[in-house]
Amino acid sequence: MNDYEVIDILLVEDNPQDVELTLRALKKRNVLNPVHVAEDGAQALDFIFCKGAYSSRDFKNMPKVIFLDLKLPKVSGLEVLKAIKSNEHTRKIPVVVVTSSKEDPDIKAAYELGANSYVVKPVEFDEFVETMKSLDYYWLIVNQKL
Amino acid sequence: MLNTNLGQAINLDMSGIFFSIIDKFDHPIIILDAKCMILYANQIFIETIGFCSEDLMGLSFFNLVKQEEIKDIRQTFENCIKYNSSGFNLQHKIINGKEGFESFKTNVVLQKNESNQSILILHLQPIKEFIEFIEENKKKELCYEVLAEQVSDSFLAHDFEGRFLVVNEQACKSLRYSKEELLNMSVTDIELDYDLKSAQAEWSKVKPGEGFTLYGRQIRKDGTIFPVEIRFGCSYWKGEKIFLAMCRDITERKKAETELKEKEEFNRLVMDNLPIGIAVNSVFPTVNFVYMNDKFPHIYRVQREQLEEPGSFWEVVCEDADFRSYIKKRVLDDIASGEVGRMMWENIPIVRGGETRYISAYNIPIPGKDLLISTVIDVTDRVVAEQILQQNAGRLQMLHEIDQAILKGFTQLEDIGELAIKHISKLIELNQASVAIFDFNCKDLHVISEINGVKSNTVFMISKADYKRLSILKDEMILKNDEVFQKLPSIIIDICDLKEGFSYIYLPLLASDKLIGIINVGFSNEKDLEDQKIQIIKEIATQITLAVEQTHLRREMELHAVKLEERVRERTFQLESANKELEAFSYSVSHDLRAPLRAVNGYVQILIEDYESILDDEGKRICSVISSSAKQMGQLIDDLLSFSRIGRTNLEPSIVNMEQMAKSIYYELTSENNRNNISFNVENLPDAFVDTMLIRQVWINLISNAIKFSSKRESTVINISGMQQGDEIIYSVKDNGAGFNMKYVEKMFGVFQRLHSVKEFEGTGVGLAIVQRIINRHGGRVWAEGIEDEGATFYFSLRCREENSYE
Repeated sequence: MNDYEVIDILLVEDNPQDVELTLRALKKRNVLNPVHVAEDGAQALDFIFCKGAYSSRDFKNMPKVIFLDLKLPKVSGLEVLKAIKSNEHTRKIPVVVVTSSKEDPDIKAAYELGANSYVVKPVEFDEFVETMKSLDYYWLIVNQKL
Repeated sequence: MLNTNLGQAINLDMSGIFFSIIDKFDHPIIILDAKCMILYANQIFIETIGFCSEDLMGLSFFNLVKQEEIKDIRQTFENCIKYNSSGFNLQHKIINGKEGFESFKTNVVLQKNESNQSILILHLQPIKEFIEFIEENKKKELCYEVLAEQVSDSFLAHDFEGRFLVVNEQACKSLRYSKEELLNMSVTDIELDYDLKSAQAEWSKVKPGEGFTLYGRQIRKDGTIFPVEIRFGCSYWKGEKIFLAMCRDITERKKAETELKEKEEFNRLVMDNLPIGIAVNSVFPTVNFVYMNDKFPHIYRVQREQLEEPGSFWEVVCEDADFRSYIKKRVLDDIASGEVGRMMWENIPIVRGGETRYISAYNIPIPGKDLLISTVIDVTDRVVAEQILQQNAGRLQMLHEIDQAILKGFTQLEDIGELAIKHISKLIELNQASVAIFDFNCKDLHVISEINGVKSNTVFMISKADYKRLSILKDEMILKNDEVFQKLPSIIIDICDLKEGFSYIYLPLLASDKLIGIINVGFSNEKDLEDQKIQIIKEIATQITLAVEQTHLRREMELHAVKLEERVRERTFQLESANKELEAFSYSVSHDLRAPLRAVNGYVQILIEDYESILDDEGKRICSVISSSAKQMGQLIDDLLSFSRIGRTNLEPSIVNMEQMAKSIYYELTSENNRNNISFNVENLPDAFVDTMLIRQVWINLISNAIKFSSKRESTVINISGMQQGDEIIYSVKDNGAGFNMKYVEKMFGVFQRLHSVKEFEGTGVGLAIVQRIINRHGGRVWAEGIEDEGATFYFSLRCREENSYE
């Protein structure tokens, strides 16, 4: 499972179509960094904190950015966000909240918990990438593998 | 000593007594026969001449006298016998054993015995004593004469026959006789009410040197009569017993006495007829009266004799032993204090035969004596008047308090009842009282409060039949003794614990003819059932009824309020759950509905991008329609969600500079190119106190509408203005765009209502609905005016800045 060591982007998303469209959007915009997809909140936490199936992962190799859907099975996105932001090692990882709607009341809650940005799910892919661009670390991610 | 010859000379039978009498004489007495031989000499004679009696017998009297006097003595004796006469006096000397001779004045009495022999009885009086007697009398005579003229009273001296011997000038003046006339008159001539014989009986008892006072009336020469005080005594004058009367005319004194008497009588009349009781009495150790006027016992309603009994005062005056010891202690303490200020006792109830009268007493100590002047007045009328006044004041106060209580809204029937009982017992002396009030359904009877009855706040269940029976009693009743048990149903008697022997005032409490309660006030004495009391109780009953009604109403209101509150809570809960459902729904709309939309859009995009070469134009167009429809649906969902959220979010008002906001939004909504075509005018817009985020949405929607609907004009004119009208500020956004038909103005603010086709102007039809919702939440109104193809004006009003004016 050495792949995990070089993960730059953690995508937490349960909807396989959204996963496909997201990955396609990233690829299309030349974001070629290694992406790991967690299908629910529990899996995401296991990955981040190297537990369960990911217990052999090196905790030091943190993802550079986390795309976090808020509506997740098992553990909700807000809970995952809370766990990340309340751990001093993971607190600094930028978390981009991915939401279905900009009217989502959870956006406010996510900001309060320390989310760095949010992006409305890719009804339009351009929108998605523009958001990525607005984040300081975008070029970092993009440039590394270019 | 008895000479044997004497037996022959005088009657021997008599001799024993005779001689024993003579022997007791304190002057010498000697008896001689006709030849002057000594027959008998008494003890004093023997002692005087110093002979022993044996030597004396048979001697001639002449042996005892001086030789030169014998001749004169013999001559006297012979004359005596010769003329057979007594009463000869002679002066001579006689042998005295110690000093030779002593002079005597001798009285010679001739006595004949049965044999007609003469015997001589000689009574010898020592000459010294005799002279003294004479001189004494001479002196007295002179004294009488002199003194008689010195005294201011009448002086009258008379002999045993009443003949006047000496009278003074004053006597003449007083009796208006001359001295000569008076000296020829006797006592009976001037003294009225005088009987000589009984007077003489009195006079004979008088001894010289003794005196007494007597009163009589004397008559003057002119027949006028005047009262006299006589100092009466006796004396000897010229050897005779005379009687001396010092008479004082007491006409003036009598007059004065009469006047004094009359004055006293007048004073007594005044004192006895005063409206106050006055007495002079001691207090310690017991109350003893020196004086009391008639009113004094009268005020205490006792007899004078009862009070005059020493030490009886407290028992007589106070019937009740407890009260007696109380008032006695109080009065005695006050008097003992010596403070005059404490010696007044006001409004003291004195009960006599069941009737109470009030007295006020004031005591004044008499200086230097252990006596007090006690005054006492009956103040019953005043006290009763005061009591009535007080009662009236109390009534008013009570009515006022009950009014207050009603206003304050006693929620507890018990409180009303207690208040009523408190006031009834304050205003009326009573022996029992109870207030019973039915509950709302008239099933329970609450005995709320009472005196001497059952325990307070007892609840009795009563049957419908009982209530019916009670309801019939709609008039107040005055029930004396037995009537209570005849006229009242037993349930009342039981519940209110009515007692035998008591009299009751029964009052039903009626609210609109419905029996809501009962008042019973009991008296141990049927005399106490006065009209005034009944009136008071009636007043209270009226007030209580009002209070109870008020309480009932209040309780009903409270019940309603509680029900209402419950309903509100229920509704709120329903609303809240509806809201939650809506939120859940919104959430799922925003997530779940969007997911497939995204998929549709995303995959169409893939189709367009990856399969461009195999899609003909029509295929591409179809893909484009699918894509834009999906996007539009996404927009609809967003608008709908934001619309629904406006109703739910809390307002957070602050002061907003509306002009600046409108301008900045205009700039956000337009590019420079757009603006070249638009004349955008904002007049001085007043600030508003509103939720910033929401009002921003209003401006966005209105300005973007204005731009959108006038976009087809060659040049667009948008005017934004605001002005205060009354307590509102009215803002307006006017454009020269497509306008609208006023026919449809009502529809304009409905959700998804559009007056133009999407082809003409795109949009979801939610914008104005959101505007209306936001403005309504701020308490304002929204309206529009428009003319087709000419333009439209949208207005909204906001209340002038009033903090805390939003929910």
